Amino acid sequence: MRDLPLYNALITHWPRRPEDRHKALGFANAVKYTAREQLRPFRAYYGTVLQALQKRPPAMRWRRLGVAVRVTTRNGEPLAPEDLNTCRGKHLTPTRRDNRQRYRGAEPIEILEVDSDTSTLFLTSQHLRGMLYKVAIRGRNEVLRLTELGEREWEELRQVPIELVDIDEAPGDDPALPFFERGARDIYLVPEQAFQLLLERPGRELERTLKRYGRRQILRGSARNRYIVVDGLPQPNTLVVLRPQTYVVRQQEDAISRLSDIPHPAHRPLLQLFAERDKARWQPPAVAPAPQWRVLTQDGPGVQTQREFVQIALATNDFAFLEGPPGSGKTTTIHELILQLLEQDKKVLLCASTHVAVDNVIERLVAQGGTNDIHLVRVGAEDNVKRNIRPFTLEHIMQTRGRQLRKRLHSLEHRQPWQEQLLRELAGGGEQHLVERLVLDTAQLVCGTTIGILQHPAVKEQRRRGRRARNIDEPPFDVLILDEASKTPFPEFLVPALLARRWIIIGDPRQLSPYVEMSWIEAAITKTFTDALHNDVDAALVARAALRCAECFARPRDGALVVGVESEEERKVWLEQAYACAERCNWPRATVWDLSERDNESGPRHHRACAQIAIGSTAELRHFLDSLPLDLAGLEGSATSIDALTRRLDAHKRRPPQTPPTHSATHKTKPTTVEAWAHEVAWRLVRAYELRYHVPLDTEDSGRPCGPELYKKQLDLLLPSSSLLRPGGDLAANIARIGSVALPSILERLQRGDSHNRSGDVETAMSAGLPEEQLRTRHRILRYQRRMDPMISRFPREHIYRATGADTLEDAPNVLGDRGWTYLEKGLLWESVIGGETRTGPKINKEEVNASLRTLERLLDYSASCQRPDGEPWEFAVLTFYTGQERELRERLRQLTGQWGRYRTFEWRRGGRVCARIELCTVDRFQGHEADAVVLSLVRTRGVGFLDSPNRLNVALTRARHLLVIVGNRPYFRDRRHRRRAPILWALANDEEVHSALTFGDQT
Amino acid sequence: MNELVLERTVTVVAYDFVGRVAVTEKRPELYALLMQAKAYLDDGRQLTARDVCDPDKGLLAGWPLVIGERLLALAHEFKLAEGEKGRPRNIVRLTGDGESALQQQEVLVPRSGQWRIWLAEQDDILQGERSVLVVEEPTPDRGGQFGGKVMPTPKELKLLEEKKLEVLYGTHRGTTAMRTLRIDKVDPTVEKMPTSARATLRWTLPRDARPELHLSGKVGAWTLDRLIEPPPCSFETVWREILKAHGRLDRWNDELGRLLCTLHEVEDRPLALETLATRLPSTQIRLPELGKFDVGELHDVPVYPLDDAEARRWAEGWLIQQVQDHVWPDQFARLREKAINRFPDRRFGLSEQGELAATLRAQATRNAKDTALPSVYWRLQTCLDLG
Repeated sequence: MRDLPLYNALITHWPRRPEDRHKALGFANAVKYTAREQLRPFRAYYGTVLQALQKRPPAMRWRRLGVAVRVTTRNGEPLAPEDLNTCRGKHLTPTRRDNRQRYRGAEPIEILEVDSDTSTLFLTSQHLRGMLYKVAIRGRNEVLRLTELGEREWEELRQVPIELVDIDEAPGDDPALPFFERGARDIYLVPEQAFQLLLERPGRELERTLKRYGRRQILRGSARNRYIVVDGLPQPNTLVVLRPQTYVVRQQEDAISRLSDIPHPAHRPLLQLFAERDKARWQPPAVAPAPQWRVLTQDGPGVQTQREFVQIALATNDFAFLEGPPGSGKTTTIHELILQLLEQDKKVLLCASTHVAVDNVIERLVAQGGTNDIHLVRVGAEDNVKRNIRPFTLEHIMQTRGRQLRKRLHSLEHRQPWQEQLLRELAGGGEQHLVERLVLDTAQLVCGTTIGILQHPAVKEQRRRGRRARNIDEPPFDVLILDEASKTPFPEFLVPALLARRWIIIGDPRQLSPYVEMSWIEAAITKTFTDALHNDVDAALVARAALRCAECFARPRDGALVVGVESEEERKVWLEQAYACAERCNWPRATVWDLSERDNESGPRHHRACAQIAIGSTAELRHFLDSLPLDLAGLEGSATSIDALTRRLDAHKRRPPQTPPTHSATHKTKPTTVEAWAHEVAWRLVRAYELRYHVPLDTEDSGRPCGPELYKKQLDLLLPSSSLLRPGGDLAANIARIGSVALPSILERLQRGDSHNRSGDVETAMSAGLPEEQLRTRHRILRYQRRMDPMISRFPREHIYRATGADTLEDAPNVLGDRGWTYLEKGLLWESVIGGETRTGPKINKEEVNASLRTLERLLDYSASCQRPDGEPWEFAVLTFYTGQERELRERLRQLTGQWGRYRTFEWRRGGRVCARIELCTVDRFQGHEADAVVLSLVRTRGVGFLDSPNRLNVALTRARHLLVIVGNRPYFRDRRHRRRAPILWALANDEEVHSALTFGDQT
Repeated sequence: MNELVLERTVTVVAYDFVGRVAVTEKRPELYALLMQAKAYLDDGRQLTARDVCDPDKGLLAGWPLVIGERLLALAHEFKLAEGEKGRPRNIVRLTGDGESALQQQEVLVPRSGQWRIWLAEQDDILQGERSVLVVEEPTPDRGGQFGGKVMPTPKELKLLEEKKLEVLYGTHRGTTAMRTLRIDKVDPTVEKMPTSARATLRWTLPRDARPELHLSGKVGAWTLDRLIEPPPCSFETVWREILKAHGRLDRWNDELGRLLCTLHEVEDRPLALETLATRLPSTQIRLPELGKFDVGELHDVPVYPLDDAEARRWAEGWLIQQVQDHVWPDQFARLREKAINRFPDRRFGLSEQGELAATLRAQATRNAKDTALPSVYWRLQTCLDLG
C-alpha cells in the first residue's frame, strides 16, 4: 500500500466517517490546521449572512397595476392566442380616429403582460378611451379595440399583475430590486398589524409565520417596471413580504459544508488547497501527447501557448489555469479543449458567474461552428438566457426535439417495433420525462451559471437524495470549465466544483472582479463588531462614536466636533474612541478636549480652540461655550440642544439658521446603528479591493495615501478603540477575514493567494496561491490579442497591464489583417461633451446621450453604405457605466430604430437588409463581448465614482475591434484633482494620442 | 400431521459501503434501443449511431447523430451491449444484462455513492445472495450517527460483487419495493453500523405441497415480509432429521405412519388419547446444514402405543376419558369394545366395570383413606350398586 500514490490509496481505502477521511488525507496528523478549520471562516461568514437575511424581510404595499383591457380586433373579433402572446413587451401605438389633437398627444403604451386565455392586456398607463391602437403582430400592423375590465372581471383573472410600492414611500435603495434580480418565486402576505410582530421573529420562526398568513406564487416579474404577476389578487390591506432570498447563500454554505464534512475522494485537490503549502502533495500533470487539433490548426502567434494549455488541461489531475487579456483567444482555447475532452468521452460542465458570461461563450462557440458536433444543453430559465442561445436551453430542446420525434414517428407508414415501443411511451404521458432524460443522459456539454447549474434535473435529484443523508454521490461531470473566473469568488466556485473531478479556470484578473452583495458583507461585519465588543458597552454608541470620530479626524478642515454626553459611560466611549483616532492619525492627544478635566481651567485658551473634538456634559459645554472651537463640523448628543452651538454650526456651514431639532427627530435623521457603521466599513473594504490594481501616477506627494491605501487608512480610523473590545478579539483581522472570504476571485486566489487581505498564520494555497512549481505546470498566459486595433489596445497595454506588472497585452502581428473597416476614423477617439450629470437619483447625462446618439447615427450611415466583408451586419455597441444612462439611451435608441419592444439589441435596416446590430449594455454586463465600434458614455461630471476602478475601465476600453469613441467631459477628467484618485482615467483624458472627435462624422 | 413449521430468529447486521450499485429502472428509450440492436444483430448487422438516428428506421428518427452516439455509449456504460475493437461505439452483441433487460423491460442503471446493506449474519440458509435482506439508498437522516466500526469489507459482502440480487430496496423517498439490483463494486473498507436487527425465518413444509420460506421482521426503517426460495429439502427428510435430533428415529413406524411411544412420552396426554396425535418438544431443533431452529410447530404428530401393555394403558385411559355420565353395564361394555378396537394390531384386554371402579378407588385411597373419590368412580360404581 505504501508504494501506491496517496491518491490511489484514498480511492481504494476511503473511510466513511468525516474525521477518518481527514485523517486519511493526512491533514489531522500532519498539520495543525485542518481543512475544516481553514474553512471555518467561510462557514461562519455564510452562517451569519443567512441569519441576517432571514431576520429582515422587506415588506411592500401593493396596488393593482395600471389598467387591464380586453382586446379585440377593430371589428370586435377575438385575436388568436398565439398572436396575442407575441404582443408581450411591445408598444401600442395610437392610431388616428376622429380626434387628431388627442392622437398627437398620445404616446405609445407598453404592454406589460398578456393573458391570452381571457384576451386581456395589462398596460402601465391609461389608454385613451375610444381610441384605436395598433401593434405589430408577425410583421404587420394589427388595429385593436380596447375595453376596460370591470371589477368582477378583474377578480376572475387567474394571473394578476400587481405593482409593488415601498412601505414608507421613501426614496433611496429599492428593496425590491434584489428581489427581482434574483428571480424570487414566492411572495408572502401578512396583515399590516402583524408585520411588526413578524420583524421580531428571527430565522425559521419567521418563515413559518410567513407561510401561515398566506402565499402567492410569482409567475413573472419585471424589475424595470416594479411589477410582478401573481397567481391571484392579494387581500386588501395586506402587505407583500418579499421572502428573503437565501437560495444563493444556502447553496454556497452547503457547498462549503459538503467539502468540509463529507468530501468525496475526487475532491481531494480541493481540500489540499487548505493544507499547509509545504505539506500538500500535488500530482503534476502528466505529459500528454499532442492531440489532433480541431480548432487550433493554424500556426500563429500565441497558438502554441493555446495548444500547450489544452494539453495541460487534458492531462491535469486537478487544476489548470488560463489567463489572457481581452481578445487573446480564451474562448477559442475553450472550444478546442471541449472538443478534445469530448473526444475522450468526458462529460463537461461549462460555468460562469453570470448568464451573460455563459451565453457569451456559447455564442462564440456557435460563431466558430463549435456546436455542430456537440450535444450542448444550456441549463437555466429561458427568460435569463439570450434569445439566440435559447435553442440550446433544456426547456427548448425538450419541446422541439420531443415534438419532432413524435411527429416523425407518427408520420412513418411502416413503423419498426422499437419505434412503436417508443411512440407508445411518448404517447403514454411520459413524454416530458422521457425526452428530458434522453437529452440529459446524452448531453456532452452542459452549460449554466455557477448557481443556476443546480437546476439541472440530475443534479437536483442527486442533491435531494444526498441532502438528507449527507451522501457523497459521485461527481456527475468529469471536467468543470469556469470561464470569466475573475468574477467568481471561491465559495461560488465551489458549488459547481463539487460536481466535477477536474477544474479548468479561465479568466483575466484585470477584468471585472466578483460581484459583491454588499448586504452580506454588512451583515457579517455587524456580527463581528457586536461579538468583538465588551458586554457592558453599548454597541450602537460605539458605532456612532467610531463613525463620527473617523469623519472628524479624516476631514479636519471641515471643523471640530462637539459631543454632549449624558453619562460617564458615554463620556468614556467617546473619549476612548477620540484618543484612538488621534493616535492613528499621529495627532497629539491634546486635539481631544475632555471638558471634565480640571486642568482645563488653567490650560491655554488657544489649545482649547484648536481641539478637533470636544467632549463634555451639557453643563460643561455651557460653561466652556466661549472656549469651544468656532469652526464646527457637527454636534452630537446633547450638544444639539444648545442653541449657541447650533447657531455656530449653521454659521460655519453657511446655511440658514435652523430650528433646533427635537431629540426624537435627531435620532430619526441620524441613524446611530451598528448597521450604519458596518455599511461604512463594508463599502471601503470593497473599494480597497476593487482598486487593488491602482497604480499612482504622482511621485511628488506619494506620502499621502491614495487608491486602496486611502480606503485602508479610513478603515483603520473607523475601528473602535482597542480598550472597548474584548481582550484577545482582533476586530481588524476579523474584518480582513470577511473581505478575504467574500472578495477575491478563485483565479486570483489560486495564483497569487489573498495578498490583499491575508489573515491567519498558516500559509496555504488559498492564502498564498499554489506553490510556484505547481503553478508553472498548470498555468499559461495568452499574450497576443487579435481583437482590437493597435491604436485601441495601446492605452490599456501601457496603463493597465504593463503598469501593474503584466506584460500580457501584445498585438498579434497580423491583427489588422483585412478587416474591411474603411471608415476614416479608427482607433480611440474622445468626443468631449460639456454636460452635467443629474444631482440626485439615477446617474444620467442628457448631453452625453445626445452626443452618443449623434455618433451612433454616423456609424449607422456608414454601415448602410458599406458592407462587412463577411456579409454579416456591422456590430455596434453603446456602453455606459450606469443603468440610469442606459435607460435614457434605450428610449432614444427605440425612437431612432422604431423598435419599441426591444430592450438590449436593436437592428438598423436600410434597403431591406440589416446593416448593423446595435447592442446597448452596461460595461459590467458587456464583459466577454466585443463589437466593431463602441460608443462609451462616461456620464460623470461630479466626481469619478467607480470609474476609478482599473478593472472596470479595462473592460470598457477593450471591447471595440476598430473604433472606440469615448463620450465624456474631457476637460473635467483632465483636471489635476483626478490625477491621484483616478490616474488611469486622468491619463486617458490627457493622452495626446487619443484624438479629439470634434470633426467626427464629417468624413463619410 | 400435514405440515412442519420451523422458525428461527436471524441476526441482521448493517454495513455502509461506498460503491457502485445498479438498480433496475424502467428505461423505455434503452429498452427500445435494445430492441433495435437485437433486430439488427439477428440480421447479422451491427447497430451504429447512424442507424439509431435513421429518419426511417431509427429509434431517434431525425435526431442529431451525436445524440445517437451518446445513447449507444450509454448502453455500453450500463453494460447492456458490447462493441468491438476498432468500432467500440457500435453494438456488436448484447450482454447477459442486455438480454435480460430485453426480457424484463427493465434496465440495470448503475449509480455510485454510499449505500447501506442489511445482511443476515452467519445463517445456514440465508447465505450468498440470500443473505441480503435490504439494500437502502443512502437516505435516512442518520442524525450524525457515525458510530460504526470501519473495517475491511467482509468476505460475504465482497462475494456479492457482480451478483444480481432480488431484494427489498429502500428508496430515499421512504418507500420500499422488491427490486433487482447488481452490486458492481464495493470499496475495500466498510463501516459496520452499531445497530442490528432481528428477522424471523419461518419455514413451512407441507406434506404434499411446495415448502415456503418466509422472512419477516423490522430491519432498520423497513418492514420485512417476503417469501424466499426455500432450501431444496423434502418434508420427509426434514421430519426424519427432527426425529433423529430427538433420538426417536427408530420409533417411527413407516407402515403405520406413526410414532411409537409410551403414554408418558406424550406431551398432551388427554388430547393425544382422543386424537392419537401429539406435539413434539419443539425448541432448539438443529438440522444439519440448515442450522438450528428456535421454535418448531410440530403439532399433530401421529402416535401409537409402543407395545401391548402400552396399548392397554392407552385404551384404559381413553375409556375413563369417555365416562362423562353414569354408565350402565351395557353401555360400559360397548365402550370397552370400542377402546380395544382402537388398537386392533395390539393384543390386550381391559378390566370390567367393577374392576375398573375398584382400581380407581384403590388409586385414590392409596395414600389417605378419607380422600374424596373421583367422580368417574361414582359414575361407574353407582350403576353397579343400583343393580
